[in-house]
Amino acid sequence: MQGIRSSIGLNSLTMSVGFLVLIGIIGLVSDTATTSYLHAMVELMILAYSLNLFTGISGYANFGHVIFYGLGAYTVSVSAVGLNAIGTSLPTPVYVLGAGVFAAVFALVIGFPILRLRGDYFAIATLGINEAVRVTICNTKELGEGRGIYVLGLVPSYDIKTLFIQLLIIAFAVVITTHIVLKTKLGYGLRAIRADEDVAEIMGVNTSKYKILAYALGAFFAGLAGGVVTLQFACSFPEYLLITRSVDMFSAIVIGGTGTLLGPLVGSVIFWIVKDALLINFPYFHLIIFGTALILLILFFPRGIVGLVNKSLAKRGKVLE
Amino acid sequence: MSESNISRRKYLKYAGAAVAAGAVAAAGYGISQYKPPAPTTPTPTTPTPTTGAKKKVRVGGTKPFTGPEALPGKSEGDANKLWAKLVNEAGGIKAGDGNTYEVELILYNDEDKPENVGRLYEKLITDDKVDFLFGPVYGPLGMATVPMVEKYKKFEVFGTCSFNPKDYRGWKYIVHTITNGPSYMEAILDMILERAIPNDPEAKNLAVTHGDDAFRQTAGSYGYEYAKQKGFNVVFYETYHSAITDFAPLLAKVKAAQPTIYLNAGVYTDAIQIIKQMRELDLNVKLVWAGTGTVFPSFYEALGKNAEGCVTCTQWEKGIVYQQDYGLSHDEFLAAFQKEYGYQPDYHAATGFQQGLVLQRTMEFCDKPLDSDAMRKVAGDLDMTTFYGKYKVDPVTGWQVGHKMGVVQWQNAEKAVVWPMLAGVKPLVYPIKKWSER
Amino acid sequence: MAFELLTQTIINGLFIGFLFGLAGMGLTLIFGIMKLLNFAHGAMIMFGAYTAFWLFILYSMNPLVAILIGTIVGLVFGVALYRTLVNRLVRAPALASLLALFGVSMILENSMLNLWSPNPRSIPVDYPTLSYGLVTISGSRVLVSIVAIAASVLLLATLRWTYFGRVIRATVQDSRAATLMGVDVNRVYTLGFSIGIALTFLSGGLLALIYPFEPFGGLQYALYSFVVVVLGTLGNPAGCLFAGLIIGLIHSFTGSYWTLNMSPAVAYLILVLTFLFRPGGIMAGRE
Repeated sequence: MQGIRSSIGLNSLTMSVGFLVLIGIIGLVSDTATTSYLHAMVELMILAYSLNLFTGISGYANFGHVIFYGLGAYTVSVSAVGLNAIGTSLPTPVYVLGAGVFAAVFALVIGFPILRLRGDYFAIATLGINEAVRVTICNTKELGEGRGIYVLGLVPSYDIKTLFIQLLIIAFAVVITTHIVLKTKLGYGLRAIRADEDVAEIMGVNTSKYKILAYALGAFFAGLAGGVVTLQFACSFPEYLLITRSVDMFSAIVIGGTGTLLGPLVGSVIFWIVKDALLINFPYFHLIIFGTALILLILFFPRGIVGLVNKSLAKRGKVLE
Repeated sequence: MSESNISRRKYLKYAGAAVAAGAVAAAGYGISQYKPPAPTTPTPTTPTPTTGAKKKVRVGGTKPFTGPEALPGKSEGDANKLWAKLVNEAGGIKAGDGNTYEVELILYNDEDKPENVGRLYEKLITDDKVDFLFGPVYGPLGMATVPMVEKYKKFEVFGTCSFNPKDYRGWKYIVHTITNGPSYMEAILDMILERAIPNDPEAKNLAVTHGDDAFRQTAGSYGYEYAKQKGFNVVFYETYHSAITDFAPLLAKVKAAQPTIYLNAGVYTDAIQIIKQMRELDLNVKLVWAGTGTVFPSFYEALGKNAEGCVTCTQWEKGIVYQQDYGLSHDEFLAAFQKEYGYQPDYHAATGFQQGLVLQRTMEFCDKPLDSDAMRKVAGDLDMTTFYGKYKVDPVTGWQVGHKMGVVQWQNAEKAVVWPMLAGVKPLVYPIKKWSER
Repeated sequence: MAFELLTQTIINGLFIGFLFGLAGMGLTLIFGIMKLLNFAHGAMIMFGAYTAFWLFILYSMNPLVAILIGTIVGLVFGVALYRTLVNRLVRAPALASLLALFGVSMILENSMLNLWSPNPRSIPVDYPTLSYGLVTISGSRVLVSIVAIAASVLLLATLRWTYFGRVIRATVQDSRAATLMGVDVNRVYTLGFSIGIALTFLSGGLLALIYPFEPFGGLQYALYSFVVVVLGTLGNPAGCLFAGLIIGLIHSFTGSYWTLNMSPAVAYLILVLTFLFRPGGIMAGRE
């Protein structure tokens, strides 16, 4: 199947990058309310893409993805406080990168044991780890216990446009990474695992290596996003690790289409626009409406929007990534 | 998948219609977000000396209308709205610059989730152009608003969110209305000291437990320190995970420690649960505080006669009648709230109303009533007593230092105020009946 | 004294374990039959609790009768839900169906909030307590445990010894072969799903006797249910019962001898450890 190409070289990568550029421009020139609206959307997008890297492509349902986000956030605040105690500080990008790296390392560490599990067992294990980490944080004095860690003054003062730029950079990075992953052995390996892991193993795919690589890669980007959120709120607290956030990310990629390049983008845009509009306009009923919409979407587009588009494109021998 | 061609076509037709409808709706909402900020009613940023002109003050905030914190969210939100309504009915706020300001209140649902806070407060500040803010209900979410509030210089009055002084980091635009977490337990401990210990020296043997989230931990740990400071003998001290639903293991240990009085810094569901399980395990003490949720009528409904004798500290309660020097009286507040909403206000509602009163009084004294810096200065120096109690904050940090908690006890299916020792305070039932004797 | 704490700990653990086991039964049954993980499990437990609660309050019936009627309501609700939504989900991709059920959960929770307010509720009944020194056995817990055990045993017996049970097991093993043998798979799914939901409502009703509940309180129970179900091997009701006891005891021992704070963390840790040594759960590889 040829990737869709029209005469102007329009393919999934161009579309995603183009869209990001577009909202980047809108976000930077308009007022800060719009910027923060788009900021939240892009944050969800990054989380969706990072989840997609592992769960979307390989089909392993990871319900605990939000811990990487949360751990990234805590990394920044812990480092800020710690370095402040010894009288130094680092430039902001270093904090954020550190957040991503820590999340990835953590993923590597827990990945080894739990990636040996399959399917639903893996899913529940990730849920369990999510909660276990959150509970542990709530009980650790050095991590602020239930109150969290406050770093106002230790991080640059609040400027939504700068934060937005930081998120955009991460978004570009994750989109391009996804594109590369899909096009390389890693992506094919993961898709083979999705189709049938045992067969893939027999065919010589190093499943454990690919799984852990994708898992850590996804964790890295989620960690980066988490680092930025500490900069935004000048604090980190355990609510960052709530499981409901994982479900949001999940919804985004399922609505958009799992395992694709455009899927997380489309999914998170739709999810965010609808959820936010409902939250503001129907504060007491938004869940009912949203739940219904979610069910209808699942019933009609079980393979996501991108999947639906693919069905009609398939007739023309093309596929939308 | 063996769908016939015909049904697939129909399927796609419906799907297409759904997509179209959804896309139109989504686009519609999306567009509504991108339009340039709507022109607001002209509100001068510097007060013009036209006396008697009717102006507007916009106040914004978020509450958790859905989610596990929906209970305080609804109460506080309803009270905020009632305050705005009463103020407008009385003609508006007569501010220190000579103008009268009508209140426009905008409240959004933050679901108690941090990701909503950033977006919603930016919207309130930049899009809806509010002049002042009422803080959210959950502590850490309140902290999440701080960077924005400091950047855009908006005066914010916190309601139920409670803090730990250890976390203060120099923010300048916030004042608190409630007795903060650290001082929650002082009222109960003081009450025990004054009303129970003289008759029963054993009363100084305490067991203290608390949950591990922001509020419970602060209240519980500071309470523990205060108890030790005041000479209590804490025979047992432990914490539990906030979302836990079964306390049997903890209560077994409490029972083994044989305290005379058991104090647990809990909230709603855990308060009910602890009493229920105390009954099941036949853990008898002479006085028990199970959590702030004790104050709700549903506590009594859920526990029936087992709720008798339970005490709790509360920011405010019907029956604590302060002599106010500003604002409506205790009875007037009760009547107005009951009339508007048909249910008795709890302390969250009272706190919500107090948020409004603080804002109102500050504006009355402030000659630049729409300027956050001026307002914050005035609020920092303000000293008043309302139906809610005393209001006085530390001018630098904004911590509430004037307000003190009260203590109520369930007696004969009613909440009796047993502290502070104001006129009308009821006798303390001590010791409470054993479970088997009820 | 130490012996009494130990005894109390064990008793507490068993009591809560039976309820955990029952709560997981519905979940594991549905999964076993239809390979569907019910993400609305928590919300349904709450809904079951509310049903029993309102029957008790409005009609002043014996709480046990209220709970039993609640179970039947659950059965009807399960059939309705299956016919309208779940039968389509069986054919949908796994991730998608999880989300659809999560959508159901959102609708349920929001509706409960709007209908019945966020106030926590509980069925206010008082059953006698037996005390032996420092060890107490609570009457309501005993009652809950008896019902939980009875229901679990009934389910296991049905699966093992009745024709209907065999039909279900056949469908679980190989649905195509079952069809060839004349089984109406769709009907099996319908009944299996609704029985699972009925059991969930039952555990919710029992829960209402001993715990307070509110519309959004289902998540915590759902998490524990998932742990129990997976520990006991997905789809294996007997395993679920054992796993429930294990988790109950872990909860109790962690609370008594360490701190109640860490009980969830320890439970999850045990889960992960089990997977290291027995990836399919404790009953992996057995029928």
